[in-house]
Amino acid sequence: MDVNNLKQILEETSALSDHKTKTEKYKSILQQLVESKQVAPLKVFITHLTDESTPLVISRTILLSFTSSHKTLPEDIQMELGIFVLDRIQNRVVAFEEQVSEIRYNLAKLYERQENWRESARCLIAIPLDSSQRVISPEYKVKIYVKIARLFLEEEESGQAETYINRASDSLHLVKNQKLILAHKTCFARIMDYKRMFLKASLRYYDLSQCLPKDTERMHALSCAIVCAILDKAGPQRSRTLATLYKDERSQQLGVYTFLEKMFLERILKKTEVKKFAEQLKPHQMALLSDGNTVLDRAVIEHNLLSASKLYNNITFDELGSLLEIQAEKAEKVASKMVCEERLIGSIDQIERLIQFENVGDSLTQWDKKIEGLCIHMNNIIESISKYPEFIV
Amino acid sequence: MTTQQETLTDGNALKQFVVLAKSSKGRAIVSIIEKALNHPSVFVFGELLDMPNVQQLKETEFKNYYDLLLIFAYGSFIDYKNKKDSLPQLTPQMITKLKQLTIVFLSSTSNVIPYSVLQEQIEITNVRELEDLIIDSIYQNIIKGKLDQKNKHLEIDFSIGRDVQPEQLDSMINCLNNWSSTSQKLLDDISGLITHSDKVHLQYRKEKEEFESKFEIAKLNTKNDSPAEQLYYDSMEYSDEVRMKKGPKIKGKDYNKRP
Repeated sequence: MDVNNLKQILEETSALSDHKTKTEKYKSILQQLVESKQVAPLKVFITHLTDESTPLVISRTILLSFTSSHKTLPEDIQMELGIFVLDRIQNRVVAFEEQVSEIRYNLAKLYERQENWRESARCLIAIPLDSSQRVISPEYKVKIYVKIARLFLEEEESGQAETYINRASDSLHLVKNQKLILAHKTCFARIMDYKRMFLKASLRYYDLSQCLPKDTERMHALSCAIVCAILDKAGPQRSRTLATLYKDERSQQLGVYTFLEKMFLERILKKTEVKKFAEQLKPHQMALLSDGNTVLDRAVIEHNLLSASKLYNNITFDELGSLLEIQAEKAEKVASKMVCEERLIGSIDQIERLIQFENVGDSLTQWDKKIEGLCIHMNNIIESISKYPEFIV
Repeated sequence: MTTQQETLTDGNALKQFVVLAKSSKGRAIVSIIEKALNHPSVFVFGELLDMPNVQQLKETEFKNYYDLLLIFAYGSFIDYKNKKDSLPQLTPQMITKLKQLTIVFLSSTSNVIPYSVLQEQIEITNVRELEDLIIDSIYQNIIKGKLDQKNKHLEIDFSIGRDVQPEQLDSMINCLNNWSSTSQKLLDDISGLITHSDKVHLQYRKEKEEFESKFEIAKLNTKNDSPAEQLYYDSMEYSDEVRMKKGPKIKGKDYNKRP
């Protein structure tokens, strides 16, 4: 069908007086054009349809048909036509809200397939979700906002992603779809992870590891929870989280378990172990901090210092540096910071170049514990002896 | 619940080797001994040593393996060094284990072991290497303690039990008897202190009751005072009030004014 011929047919159709016949005629023309897969005639058809002389009732109905039927076309044609339609009706968006939403959603999908995350997100952002023209379900709103947030996360723009996930959170209580709720939770956990709020991320990932449908997904979420807990700053809440993760039987099946075990048991981590663990981290988790260290470096140095305090009464800066495999000055700096923040109990003697660690708990309590331990040990020995009556006097 | 320290000394890890040793002889027994000495969780060897098939090694060409097992059961790294030529070569795991058992042996003689003694006994010149070995021993729950770099010593809080030689039993019984009598003396002393404390407490209660009864009598006597005395107190109060009212006026608020 050539363009001139098409124009004539369209003029004839628009001259028809019967509304129903007119609509049917437009639909059959659209069907023919879609089947022919030619861009130029389709553009002519769209131009005619979006012209102000065409009644809104007709153009709305036919455009809605177009949004569903044009999905059968090749992707590049879909894209070209989608952009063309949006360009044609940009001044009358209010009149075509539903059609615009459908076209933009489809365009976003196409951009996503091309891994053009930013453009895909832009398409979705432009979908009107606060409309007086039509009723928009909370499910639809949340679905769009979560999708936008996900796309921004792919672009590693956690700030933008957070904006849209927060908007989704406003309507989340009205959503019944479990799949959508899980998608929101996953997205939120990832945002916390990207923003380096590792403890919050860890708790959210752990929650997901118990409610995601697939076993592989649950294990992946558990692995992410462990990684985030490890990367967080040393402190009581982190210790509790590590304990929860360590005691979860599923953790033993993961590659990060040995690292988690050492963290939980407060054992010194060697550089080789840290290197192996670092290979599993995502780029944003390996970003450099202001002091030139990565988040992992900081977490490991602090952890190792706390571990050293459990092993030593006192230690020289040089030996501490050698033990932690860092420079002595750096070891001193980290130790002083932790002592100041009361995360490490001890004192620093710069003349003797020595860190004196203090035992937590007074000596009487420790003495009590030792007596208790001795008594328990004695009981165990007596129990063992009682198994052999011939030894009992 | 059994602790990790108990699992190291309860002989459970050794049981598999004891079972295998029942039905093995000669070269097969040697292989079992090697595996037991290399095993990361086996630190006691008494049951294996007592097996008749293992005892028979003394009369064979594998006597050196029996001697090696004896050193791991009762001896130290120095003992191995002294007989090195007549003993089989050790794997790195065996060397580490024997050094760790030497630390356990030293901890049974003193709960503060100087680094110099440790370095001499386990032949490690580098302090870092020595401390790494001690740290690994702590992490394996073989010992519990703290390192002190200022005083260059290791403070031992706990160490696993090693196999006991028959000739050590008498000194062990003496040690336990001493501990028992010391504990008994301690209990007697505590009992005496409790009795004394009860006595002091009763005395205190008695004195408190006496004081309270005297105090009650004094209160009753005060209530029954003569009216003249009562008037005296009232007049004193009155004169105080008059004096306060006649006092110098302060500009603004009258601070002497009664509410």
